[in-house]
Amino acid sequence: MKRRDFLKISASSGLLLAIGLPVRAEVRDTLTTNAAFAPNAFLRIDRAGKVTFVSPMIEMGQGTYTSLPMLIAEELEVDVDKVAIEHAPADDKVYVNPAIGVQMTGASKSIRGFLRPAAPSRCNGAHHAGDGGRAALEGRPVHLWRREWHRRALCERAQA
Amino acid sequence: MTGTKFGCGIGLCGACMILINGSPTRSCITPVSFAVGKRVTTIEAIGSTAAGKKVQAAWAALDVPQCGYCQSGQVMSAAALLAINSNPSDSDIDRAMVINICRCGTYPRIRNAIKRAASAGNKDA
Repeated sequence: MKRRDFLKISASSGLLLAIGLPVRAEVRDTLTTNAAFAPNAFLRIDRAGKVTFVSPMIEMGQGTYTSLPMLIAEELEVDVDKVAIEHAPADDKVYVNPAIGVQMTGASKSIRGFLRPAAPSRCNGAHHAGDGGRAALEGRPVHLWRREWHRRALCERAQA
Repeated sequence: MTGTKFGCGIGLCGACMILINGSPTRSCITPVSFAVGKRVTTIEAIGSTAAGKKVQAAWAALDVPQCGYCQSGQVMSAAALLAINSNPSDSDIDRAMVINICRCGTYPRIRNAIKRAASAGNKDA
């Protein structure tokens, strides 16, 4: 069996399984209203497909407004020019750089901190932020939900 | 006025660019005596010139700035270029804009924005 076929079968059988599972309120709201899809604090995709990345790292010539959106674009498989940037508010819990432990830009830790959650106790990360959004762009909300759900489950299991 | 930025202070980076009689000039190494009796334009007023207005509109449309520190200077040089050359080639743009550096690396968007501003100008004509 080719990998692609396997994925197709997994996805379709997954749809059946998903029906029986309780849909979380936030996912249900996303599916039934015109609200932007926001799988986490870093990513927003509106109904027109506009991608907004909320960057927790400042830009002062280091290139974080280039490099971090590139991670999002890669995960979503969209052109990096299509990723708009919004600067994150100060929030040491949500937007903490996991590699440093505070919301601070520096020490060459922007990519290291947000490529993958560096500390096992954190499940954020720009790469993961983009991960759940791709299916939304492809119009596959249930699959998207499952993917995001799996990601969180894996991340949370890694913490335990 | 806070628009014109102080960057390197030794005439290298172009963040301090102003126009004196329409020519891009680095204000950080220009004595006031040089400007006596001449027409000085800063980023605060460039939007009231035809070229400057198109440049600023293109800059906003393409979301050119990243951190933004060099951008006042970039806009001044771009407006000065378009004022004397309404349809610059890539090499014209390179020659005119080499006097402004950008640590974020927004050069591709700067070039695109200058072309956009130029085509907006040609449509009006």
